[in-house]
Amino acid sequence: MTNIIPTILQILLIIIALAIVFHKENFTIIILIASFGLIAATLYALNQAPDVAIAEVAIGSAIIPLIYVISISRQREFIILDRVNHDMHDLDEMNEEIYMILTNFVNDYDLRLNVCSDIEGSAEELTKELNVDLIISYDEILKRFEFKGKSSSILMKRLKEMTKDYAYISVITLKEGESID
Amino acid sequence: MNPILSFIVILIGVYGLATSKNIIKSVFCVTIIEAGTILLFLNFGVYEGGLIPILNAIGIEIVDPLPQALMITTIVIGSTITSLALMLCIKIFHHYGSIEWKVVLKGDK
Amino acid sequence: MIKRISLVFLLGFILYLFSTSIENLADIYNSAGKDFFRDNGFYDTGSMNLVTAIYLDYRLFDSLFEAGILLIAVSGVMWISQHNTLEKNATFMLDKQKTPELFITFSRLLYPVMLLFGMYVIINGHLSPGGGFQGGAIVATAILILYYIDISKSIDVNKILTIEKFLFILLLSIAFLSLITRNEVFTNFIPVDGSAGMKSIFLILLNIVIGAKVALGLIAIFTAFLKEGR
Repeated sequence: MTNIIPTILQILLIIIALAIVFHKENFTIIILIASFGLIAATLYALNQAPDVAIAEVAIGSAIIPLIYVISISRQREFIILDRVNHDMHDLDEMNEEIYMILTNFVNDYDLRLNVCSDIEGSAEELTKELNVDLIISYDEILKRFEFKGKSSSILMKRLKEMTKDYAYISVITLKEGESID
Repeated sequence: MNPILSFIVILIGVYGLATSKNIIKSVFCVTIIEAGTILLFLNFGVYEGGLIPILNAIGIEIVDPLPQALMITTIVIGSTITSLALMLCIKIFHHYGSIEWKVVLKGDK
Repeated sequence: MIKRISLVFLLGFILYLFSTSIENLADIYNSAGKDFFRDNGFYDTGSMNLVTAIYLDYRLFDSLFEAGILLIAVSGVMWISQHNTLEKNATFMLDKQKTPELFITFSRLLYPVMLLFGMYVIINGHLSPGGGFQGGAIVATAILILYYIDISKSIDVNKILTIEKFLFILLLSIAFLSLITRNEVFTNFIPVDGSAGMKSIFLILLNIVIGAKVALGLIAIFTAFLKEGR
């Protein structure tokens, strides 16, 4: 009779491992990760190993899910810094079109748009330090909107293809200052 | 208490590592392989009627303490390696904009 | 599709090989090692917890390398994130939405209890289940709560990394002390015919050093992640 409980727990561990391998969304996998760690710790305690069980609970239930949440929390947003002077009203039409293009572009990749407009600093420093994805500004002399972003990002290439037909938008890509290697 | 069920967990981890499209999922399949390995090691010393390896009185029946000492270091090292891998994954996301293996392996052209 | 099915068949074949090779597990297993630990473990090392006796006295060499791997991983994470080590606080991550009042009050109640429990697990490593590695992880989780209680708290990462490096050198020097008293490296520095009570001083000292090292390393990793994950 007492041999049934470890067998049931081991079969539950196999089912959770299968659910993790075959699931598609990233956020629900994190909860499955925490429950995997807890059931594994119970199995270690039932196998007469209390030291290993304490280590697994402390590390696998608090520290590991926190690190996973932090590392995937940034992947749902696309951050835009808007530096256009909105007091001039003759740009309103083109402004609306630009935001329609950006909304369509963001919906293709299943992200959310996050627009902010009050951070100081030069363009290179901002893309490196704060990881802003796109900076919009309006050039008075050439009468054009400029989009600035990193040159190695896949999203910037796609944005370049999407805005080829519009004459008043130009996409400028910046290379990073120094690379890791 | 069954070594074969622990081995099945290891094999599920290997399958997930070979066919995953996400970088984050393949980092977690390494953790699944480690949990299965620890269960397999602990199964090799246990027997019916054995007790935990802490001596209350000298000379009672205990379980083998050597695999447990090795597995404690395995858990701690596994968590630090996971954090190093995830830091690299965050940097890849900032550089390329997505975390699929196909996109990252193509490089920037 | 064909690749996946052939992968499943290959894994099934490996499972069959494994199950035929461990049919007589009870005959293969040799219990001489377990009997040696049960008979001589307490008198040689002075600890009732045999797992602590193994990784702090009989196999101290492996624990030194594990502490070295922790040091390398922490410095690797710091270098990859290019974390400006004079940067102070983590407000950029947490002020996106306001944390609820209930959470802050509950964390204030919980923080001293968790810290006390972590220190108890570290110091009583040789008498009950616990030890340096487990207690270090609990203390690191307790200090993580501080980021939620006080948003404007500042932790200087430079000092934490310096203290951690000194703790590793201290660990190595305590392990080398036994060369003078017993003519062997990497074991207890109290002579062989001392009482079991005296020998447990070495275990408590090493447990405290290892627990502090693990806790500081994990705090440094958390700070790097909180800054990177904006």
